[in-house]
Amino acid sequence: MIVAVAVVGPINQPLYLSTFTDDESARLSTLVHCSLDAVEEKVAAGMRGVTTDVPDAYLGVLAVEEECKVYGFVTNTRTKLIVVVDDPLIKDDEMRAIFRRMHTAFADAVSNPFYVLGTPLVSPRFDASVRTIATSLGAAA
Amino acid sequence: MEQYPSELTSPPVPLVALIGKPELHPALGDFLRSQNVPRVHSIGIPDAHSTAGTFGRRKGTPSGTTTAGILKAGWLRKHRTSKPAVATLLVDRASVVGDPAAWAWLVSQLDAVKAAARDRGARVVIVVAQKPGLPAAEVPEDRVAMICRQAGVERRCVLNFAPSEGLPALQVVGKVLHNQAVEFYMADAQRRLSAHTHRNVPSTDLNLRTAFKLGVLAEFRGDWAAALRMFREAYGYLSQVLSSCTGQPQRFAEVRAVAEYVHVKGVSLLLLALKQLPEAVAQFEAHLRLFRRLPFTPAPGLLASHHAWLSRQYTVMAELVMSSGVDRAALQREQQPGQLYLAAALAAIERRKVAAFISGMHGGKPPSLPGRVEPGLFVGQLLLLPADPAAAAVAAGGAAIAAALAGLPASALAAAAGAAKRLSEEQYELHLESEEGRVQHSKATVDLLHTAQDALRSSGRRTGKTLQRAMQLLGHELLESGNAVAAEPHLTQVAAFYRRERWEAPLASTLLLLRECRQQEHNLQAHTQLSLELAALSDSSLDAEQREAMATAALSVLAAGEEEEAGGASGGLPASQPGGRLAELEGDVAQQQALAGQRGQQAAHQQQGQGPPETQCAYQVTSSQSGWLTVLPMCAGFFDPTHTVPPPSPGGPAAASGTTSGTVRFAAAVWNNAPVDLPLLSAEQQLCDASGPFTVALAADTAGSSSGGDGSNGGDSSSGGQPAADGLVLQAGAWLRLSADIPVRCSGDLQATSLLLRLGVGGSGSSITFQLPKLFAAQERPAAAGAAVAAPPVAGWLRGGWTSSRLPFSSSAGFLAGRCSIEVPPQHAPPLLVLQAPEVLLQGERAVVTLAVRAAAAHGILGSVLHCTAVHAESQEQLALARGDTDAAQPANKVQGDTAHPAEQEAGQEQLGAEHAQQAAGLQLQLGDLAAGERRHLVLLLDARYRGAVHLSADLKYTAVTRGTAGTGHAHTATEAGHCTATLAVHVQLPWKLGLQLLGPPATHSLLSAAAEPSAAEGALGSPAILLLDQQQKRLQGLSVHDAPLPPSAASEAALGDGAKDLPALLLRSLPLRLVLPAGQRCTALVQLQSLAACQLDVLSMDMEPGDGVRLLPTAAVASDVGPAAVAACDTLCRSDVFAAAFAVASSAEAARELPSLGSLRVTWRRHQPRPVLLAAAACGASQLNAAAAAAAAETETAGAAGLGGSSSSIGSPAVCELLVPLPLVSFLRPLLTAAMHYPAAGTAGQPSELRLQLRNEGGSSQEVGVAVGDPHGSLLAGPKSTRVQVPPHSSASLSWQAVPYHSGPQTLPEITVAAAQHGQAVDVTRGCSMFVHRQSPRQEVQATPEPSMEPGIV
Repeated sequence: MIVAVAVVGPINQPLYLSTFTDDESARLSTLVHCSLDAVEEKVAAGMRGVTTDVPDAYLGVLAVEEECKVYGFVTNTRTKLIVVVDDPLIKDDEMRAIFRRMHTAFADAVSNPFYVLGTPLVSPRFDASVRTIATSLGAAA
Repeated sequence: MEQYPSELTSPPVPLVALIGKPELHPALGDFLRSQNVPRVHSIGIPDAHSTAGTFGRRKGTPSGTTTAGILKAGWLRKHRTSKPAVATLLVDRASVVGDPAAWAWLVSQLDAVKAAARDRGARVVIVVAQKPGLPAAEVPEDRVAMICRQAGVERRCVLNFAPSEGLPALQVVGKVLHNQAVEFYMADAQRRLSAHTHRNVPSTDLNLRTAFKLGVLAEFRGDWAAALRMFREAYGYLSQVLSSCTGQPQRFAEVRAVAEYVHVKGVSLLLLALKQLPEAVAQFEAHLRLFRRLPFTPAPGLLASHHAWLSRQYTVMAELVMSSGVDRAALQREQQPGQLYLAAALAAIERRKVAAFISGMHGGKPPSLPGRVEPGLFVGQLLLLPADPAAAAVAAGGAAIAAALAGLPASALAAAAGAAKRLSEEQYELHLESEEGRVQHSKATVDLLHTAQDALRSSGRRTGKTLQRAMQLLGHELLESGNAVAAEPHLTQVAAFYRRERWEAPLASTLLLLRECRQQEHNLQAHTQLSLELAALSDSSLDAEQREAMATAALSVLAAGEEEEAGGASGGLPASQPGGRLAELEGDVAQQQALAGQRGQQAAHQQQGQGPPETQCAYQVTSSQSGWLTVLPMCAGFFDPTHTVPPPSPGGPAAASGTTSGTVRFAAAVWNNAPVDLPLLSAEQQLCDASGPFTVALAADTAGSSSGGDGSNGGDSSSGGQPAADGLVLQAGAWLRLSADIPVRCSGDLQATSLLLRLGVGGSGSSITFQLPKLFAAQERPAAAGAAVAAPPVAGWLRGGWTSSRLPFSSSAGFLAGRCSIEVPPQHAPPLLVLQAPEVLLQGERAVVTLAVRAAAAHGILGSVLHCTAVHAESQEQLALARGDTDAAQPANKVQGDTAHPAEQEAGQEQLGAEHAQQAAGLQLQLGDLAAGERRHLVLLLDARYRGAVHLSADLKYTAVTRGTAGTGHAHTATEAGHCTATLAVHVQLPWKLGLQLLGPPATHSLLSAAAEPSAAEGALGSPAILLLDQQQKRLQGLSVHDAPLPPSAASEAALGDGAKDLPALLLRSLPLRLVLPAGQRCTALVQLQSLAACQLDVLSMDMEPGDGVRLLPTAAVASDVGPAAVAACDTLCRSDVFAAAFAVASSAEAARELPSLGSLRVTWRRHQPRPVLLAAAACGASQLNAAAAAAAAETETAGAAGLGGSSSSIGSPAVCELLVPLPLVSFLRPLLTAAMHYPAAGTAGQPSELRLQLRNEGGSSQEVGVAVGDPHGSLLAGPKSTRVQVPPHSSASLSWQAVPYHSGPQTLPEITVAAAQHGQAVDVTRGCSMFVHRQSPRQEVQATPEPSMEPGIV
């Protein structure tokens, strides 16, 4: 189940953070923030992807805390898509599909001519898209 | 790993029993334990008849019933420490080969051991030991066979052991014992497996137990693969066992403990023995995946114990990874020890929270049980014992005694006695809760966090953010333990980090903790700020109502000062965050002092009747990481004074937006992130210009300059330019735009230093001072080349969506966001300042520097002051500048050397002192008032004392009169301070190169005798006289005395070595350190002066002033030796030309002496060209003109000056420079050996004439002189042709020849050579000597001619 979704800007500023559990937003936000260490490390070392040598936007598992696993995806503009799941058996292919859908929603959101790059994403449509993706994996609506 | 017994964390080692011969046990046991491979542990039994019960009894066929537990608690320890696998009987060889009595004793020993080992199937080994010191002796085979038959063992189990053979014998014993132990464990495993296979009722618990025991037995054998396979099989049964634990906390705890046993055994095996890191990590993840979640809703006690269990798993895994020595680079981030320790700390924190809950449930007292709880017989089980279990055991009778003899623990004893009982679920929960009350949770957690931080730092991975989180957790735990002082630095650092990263939720949680720290420290001021900052974070854990209540309470404190209660400031806190009342400031002494100082200043202001409203708290925002910028992000800057607004209609006049008739516009906008409006008492801007600091009141800006914003504005006061202290409100989620038109007091740099906001209502409040240069430092810095990323124009954390993303003021109107410093253009036509200096200056001269000041045609200037400086670039020393119209009248500019005459030195020192006093501040000239268009020309003389670059600077300060309509709309006259600065870099070169050559008198030859003096001869080898003689010997060339000049390269290096030296000192350095001349002899000093300057120089005169003890002999015609391109009669030198002069000098006395200086050389020179090539720099107002414009302005000003007939005439007469070079130290020495030739001036052909050679030795030792006659040059010579003469000390010797010339006329004397054998020097004493030979006439009487006396030669 997806418990949190975050979009982090190129300079690691939070653009969007949505949690799908009660009373854990601070903990999940901190967890997402800490996982940026792994993002920076993987991007710097060219360790994207899991199996192939070709640079891959999908970063795989970034951090594990208790039953939560943090997965990452980095776009060409260095924007990071972070997803926190509490399903220990989720597969990489499923996560790739989730990130592809999120990336599409993100691209739509930043295509808004009134959106200023680097500012928080407050688009209701993007929020609805993210919630749709999350609930498809069992998150609370 | 300290949480586990050693048998769990280290692989088991086979155990053998050494029976009999106790004296052999230590040596054999030590060898088996430490040197044998593989290791074998041993226990010693002194006699075979004491072995009963040592090996235990094998159990019968297992029943099919289920057992009371999974794993026996002491099974592993029992097999490692007390149940040997091999019984080793040690017997003397004498008892084997001895008499029947001895054999009978041996048989009894064998029977006892055999009986003891039989029940358990332990192996038996008989070691026949020789006596120590005796050689090995064979045991008869028949006896060996009898032993084998009697003991029932194979032949290989009977060993002949000779201690005298040492290590080889021990190795044989060790190998046999280990092999027998392996066979025993193998057989035992087979037996257990067979027994388990034949069980009637399958049981998962028994399956698990059997697999675990088989794994341990494989470890005994060293079969790691089999052990790992069995442990994995055992762990595989745990999921089945776990599924049956629903609703049974005790059962779950037992299964969890067994799982921990099996897991630790498996992971230890993988990491420590097999070094299989990935498999170990996989096992760890599977372990946590299976047991992290409780299969039922736990009670608090079980939950706390489960968190403790989780924390232990992470800790042990981290310790195993760190101690395994495997390459951690291959580990995933979450498997790094630092991350594992952090996870352990998180679990410990959860445990602490649950424990706090439990403590609250029981009112702070741990619950009590009706008895004592001890570990049970099985792993993970607990038993409840009565208050006195020993009494119960005694009452239980013989069964309990038997159990006690078996070594079981007290609980087992009690259980066997029937006194101990299993706990009920309620009792178990109560026991867990009481256990939590005895643990120091915070200390354990803090230790874990410290360990995690250390491990993260040393991991070599990117862990910056994770470290901050660990630090936040550490601060939290320290705060929970009541140590707010220790927690505060950690939390402050973390808060600054999250502010910089701009993550709201982590920042909010940190601020909550930090606020709690401040509250415990009774720091109301910081507490209030943190409350407001916390309220400004929309993504915090607080809801909107809580944030608003918190902000309102903080605002009330800010508005009313510390006398207000702070309880309201925490009114919005959740229940877990205590708010509370803060009555007074007690904590931060420094802040109290700051407050006291602020109040003192305010009181002083109020006494003067101009004070601002009273403020109680003063906040300083000096860093971009300040929390106030989270609440009140801001943007500030000047408007571009040169920016022109396009005309509103085509053809209309353009207007400057940044400045209007004597004003410069400054604007600041403050965004309010707090959920409530913040009223302002006033807003002031502190500025600073060349005239000093001043303050301007800011007013709300609702005019057109705010076109960049969204239109929202908290202020409703009047338009810009008018101070409006009332009605300023920082509306929530909106900009408050403030601006002011600042009257220009003077041109130049105008800096906005700080923005002061006074918060409050009525007459009191608090102040916030934003130090603008520090907040906008990034904007002030020029962008690096190629840097495309612009710094954000807003200081702080601006939120508010799209509307806040726009600048509060329109950049099209000329707003320069973040520019806190601006160059104010003059409001008048500035004067022109021109500075001219020669392109190349010569060291030692006084160069003419001209200055021209011309007031603009439209504006006169008042009270102008010109400040000129000349700084030597290398030494940063100021050079002297003097007015040319006064000093130029002086005929010469004397430059003194270090060793000049005392009178001159004194006069020179006075002059230098005056010059240095002037140098300290440069030259300041009062020019007074200049009317419009008036010119003023000045000539300065620069003392080019040092070589290298010199920076000339001229700064003109004045007051200009302007006319404008600023503010009033009516024409008025105002004054404005202005300044012009022109700078010029010139280069000072070295003009001369000096050479000095000293020549001894011709035809005199001597050796200096200083070293031959008795006193000097007896002196030390390194005495100055001997050193001097050595130097002299090196310099002497063929007995002629002259000091050769230094090689050109050495001379140039000496001259160029130090650029900050005076010219005389430089020239002195090019000369020899010491001159040596013969005393009383006429010597010639040849001086050569070579021009190094790029321009022509005139040498006007060159004189030598002899020092004391030196005579300047008359004559010495001065020779002028100029280069081939120059005219001989002209003293004008081009570059590389040499001017030479010769002086005849001699010592005043005949005696040897040393003089401090030969004298001084005085050279008078000047530039040949009256007008050198000039460089020019010009400035008009604050801006300096470029080179071309400066040259044009200089040409114009020079022409203007020529038209005026002013002081420019000084340029046409180059200053005369006089150079006084002190000459080096000189030593006049007496000759050592003098050879004087006496001969008649005239002779007659055919008549003999006497030639007499007088040799004089002035030294203290005999000198051997060789005399040889060479070519007689037309004479018949009678006398020694070649001889050697010993000249005693301080005496003379002579040789004579009779020469008969046979030609008439001038005739050269015969060639006679004198050689000093000791010094290896030779000289032709008759060189240049001749006599006139008359024709022979018998009637003419030959007149005797007095002998000429030659001057004694100098040696």
